[in-house]
Amino acid sequence: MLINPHQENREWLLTALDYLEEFVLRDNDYFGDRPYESEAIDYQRQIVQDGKYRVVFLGAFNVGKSTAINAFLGGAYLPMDIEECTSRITYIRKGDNLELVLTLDSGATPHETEALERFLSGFEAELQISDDRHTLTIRCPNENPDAMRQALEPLVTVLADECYPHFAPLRERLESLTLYLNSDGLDDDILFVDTPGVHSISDTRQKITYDIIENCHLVVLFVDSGFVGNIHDLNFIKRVITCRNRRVFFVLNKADRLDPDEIDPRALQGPAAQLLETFRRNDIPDNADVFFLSGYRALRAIELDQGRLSTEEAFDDNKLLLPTAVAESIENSEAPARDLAAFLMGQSRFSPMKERLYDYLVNESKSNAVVYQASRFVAERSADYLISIRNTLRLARDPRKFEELRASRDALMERLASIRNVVEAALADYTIRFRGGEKNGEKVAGYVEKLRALLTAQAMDKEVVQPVLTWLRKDNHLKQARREKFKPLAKQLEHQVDIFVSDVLATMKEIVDASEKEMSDCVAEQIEAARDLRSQLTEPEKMLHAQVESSVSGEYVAFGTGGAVVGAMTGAAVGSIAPGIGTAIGAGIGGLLGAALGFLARLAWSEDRWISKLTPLIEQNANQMILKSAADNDKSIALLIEEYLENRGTTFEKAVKDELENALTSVQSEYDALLEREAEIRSEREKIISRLEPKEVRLEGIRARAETVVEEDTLPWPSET
Amino acid sequence: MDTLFTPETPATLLPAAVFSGDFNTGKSMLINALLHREALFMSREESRTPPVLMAKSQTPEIQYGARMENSGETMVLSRDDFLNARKTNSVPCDSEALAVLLPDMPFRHFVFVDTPGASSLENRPAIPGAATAFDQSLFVLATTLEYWPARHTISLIKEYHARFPGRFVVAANMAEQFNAKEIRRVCDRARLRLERNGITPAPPVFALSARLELARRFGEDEYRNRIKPDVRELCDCGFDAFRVMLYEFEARATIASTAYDLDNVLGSPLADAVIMNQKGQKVC
Repeated sequence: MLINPHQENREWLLTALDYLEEFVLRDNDYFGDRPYESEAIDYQRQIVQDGKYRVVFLGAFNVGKSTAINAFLGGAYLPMDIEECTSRITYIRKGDNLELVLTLDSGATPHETEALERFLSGFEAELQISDDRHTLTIRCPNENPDAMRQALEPLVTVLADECYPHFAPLRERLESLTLYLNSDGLDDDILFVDTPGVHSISDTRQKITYDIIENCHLVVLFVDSGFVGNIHDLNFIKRVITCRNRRVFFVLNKADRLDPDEIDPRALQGPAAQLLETFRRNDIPDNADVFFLSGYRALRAIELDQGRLSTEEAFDDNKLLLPTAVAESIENSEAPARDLAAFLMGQSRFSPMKERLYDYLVNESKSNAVVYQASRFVAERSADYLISIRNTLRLARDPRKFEELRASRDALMERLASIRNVVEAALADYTIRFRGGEKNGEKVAGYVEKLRALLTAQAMDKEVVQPVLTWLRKDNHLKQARREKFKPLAKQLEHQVDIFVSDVLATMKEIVDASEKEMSDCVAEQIEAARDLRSQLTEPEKMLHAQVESSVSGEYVAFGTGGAVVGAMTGAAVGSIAPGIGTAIGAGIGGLLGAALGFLARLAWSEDRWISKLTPLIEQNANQMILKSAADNDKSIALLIEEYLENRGTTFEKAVKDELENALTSVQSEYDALLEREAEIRSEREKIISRLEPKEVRLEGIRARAETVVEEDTLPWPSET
Repeated sequence: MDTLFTPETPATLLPAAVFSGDFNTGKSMLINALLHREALFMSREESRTPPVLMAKSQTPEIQYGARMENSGETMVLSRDDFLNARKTNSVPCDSEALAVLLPDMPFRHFVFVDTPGASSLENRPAIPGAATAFDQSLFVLATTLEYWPARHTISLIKEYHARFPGRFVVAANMAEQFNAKEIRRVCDRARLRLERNGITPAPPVFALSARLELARRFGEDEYRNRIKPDVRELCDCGFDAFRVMLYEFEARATIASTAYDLDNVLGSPLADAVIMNQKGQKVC
């Protein structure tokens, strides 16, 4: 499969990181800051272990998202129904056994777990409860998809409220739901996210828009191919496409119901053409790959192949809509099961889609791809550790170097001081850009100041209030909003706020990224220089040129070890701002609905009167959502972003300082250590050489391979933009 | 079924069955299947057309006509003109309503009204107001078995239910694409589902397949043969029940004595009501 080289690299990375950690923690030939290093290694390991390609399946209800995922997984693990089915976000990833892990926001009561156990005992599934009763694990020892599907039914289906009311308290407290399975269909580094139909509950929708889409590598959007013109969630789709600014896969599912001439992936005719026409009419950028798919046929074909579905059952399945001629010829063939499976698989158009999807993930969507970053880290860290070993080896092989080392002490100190000065100047510059201040006699606005300039009442009026009013005046929207108790109005306001805030965030991200990038480049170069100093300690004549050489290599490695850590740590410490904003918008919308409902009885008002009455309400609510919250304990969006920016700037500054300190201290301590060990090195040369050589080989091997992985990846870091 | 009728209505009002629903749900095919003929243009492409009124003709020929946008006059059309008036998205059309009179229309008194399909929640047809002209009308919301409980369909059902209580039914088309077990389950749950949404008493929901019905009328058909016998039977029963319900409604209506011609159909208050309510989003 296409993805294998990545998997191999990941496995190798994990062993490499294990070795590095062992070396850092226990090896006497390591002289650096053990806790600091082991923490950084551990962090990378977590990323490698956890970092998956996230693939999100989105779409209206009943368009076959779960069915298609099941086809990917190679078995009907997720519940499917001809009516609205999935009610919860489910994460699916590879594991050793087939199990479902539920995390609850408060411990499960004995009563609940007993009920669940009783339910599970009906189909060979068992329950494990964590000590704090917050995590429940449902295992299916027979690895049977049917058992897992049954176990999921009371937890993730819409029907559950009706059929399993006694599990309602459990469902309500579900924080996350992860399905692990050991299937060949699921690669180690892929995480699928199954979502409920996008129209579903507002909370889920917010979570999907702000959290899940933002943190995923690929969005696969499902549309029923028979109803392409009826897309009821165009606004949502528009947002998904615009906010991602990268490819979205559109799957026109249920293609088995189309006439053959309608299936035209080149989009010259049929539903694909209709879809593109809809995009064009609604100013949606055409950034999509369009596929036709019949997820149901693909799944059935797979089940036939696995022997989970008999040929008779397949022939009895009306939903497959087998053409009579095909059915007859297959019935009379030598291997009906095989032929039927092959026919269905071919008709499903599943394989080309799957291939394209994986190809995209591996070859195009490298942003946040874990392997690349971790390989860089490993390459740089192992090179770092090699320095001490090589220095010692060099001195052991030629002890006269000690004299040169001592002689060049002053030059070394001078270089260290100049590195510190350069970084401190850059840092001062960064602080001005972060907090605002004066530079070269000119006033520079800080992050928060720039944010405030974007989030003004005027901007809000122009980007939120006016578009909503324009919308109200158009196409009877006002009437419709009144009829539906202002819900469409609330939705529209939510949508506009959404767009406005997304734009502001995008602009701020650009500003922050630019200043962080500049700072990072400078730090990277200086840290690179410090590292060069260290590696050349025993070759003083080269040491003095370290800066020049490093600036050359600085181009190649835009961001040194310091950079990889600074970037990663900043991200981890600050987290995502998204979920908070989702909640703030949700709360604001509730306010608008409450206030507008009071007007409902005024049937006699003219449109103008309505608009003039609604305008202040819209203004006030948008204002509350964005600028200042009504309740003291709710934070406005502006405040949330401000806090985020403050947090991010401070964390970044700290990370840079720590990294610099670490780099400079290690040069100093390397130097001190070498001189300290002079007597030992002189007297026990042979022993030291035989001890260090294998370590040198091992670390050099790791470094070389990691570097190859990095070089194979041609895309620039940190993002594909 | 007995909630469906309003017995005391003036005899001057035409008894009608008004079909509405999203495009692509098979409204036209549903009507064609009821009429046993392909009287209406069917396409998966989105088309904006004026409402079409269909009634029994007194002459042996099929008659096509249009009511002109500006003058309100009736114009006789050829079959080709009639079909073209239905079709295109881009060419403007100057008729505000179309009519077909069919000699072999199986309903003697009923006027069928095909309303333009809608493509999304934003530009769905304004639901006709509770005009007097509709007092003898039955409203049929065409949707699909699969999507009938969708949010927007349920909200349409709510509104029809509120305006035309007891004179409104749901035809869940394309039932042939599912297994018998699934069709039965959806039907069994339909009433409960509607009542949960506050729609009481729940209007009848017919699971049927217009495509199979047409095939049944036109003899041997590969598509019909593909469908498993139990599903075919369910769909046929659903369609028969739907047809019988229409016949019953027609039988109970108060009938005007005049025979139908293009003028009295296109000039009727019923046509006025249909057109008036379409004005808001007419493309033509």
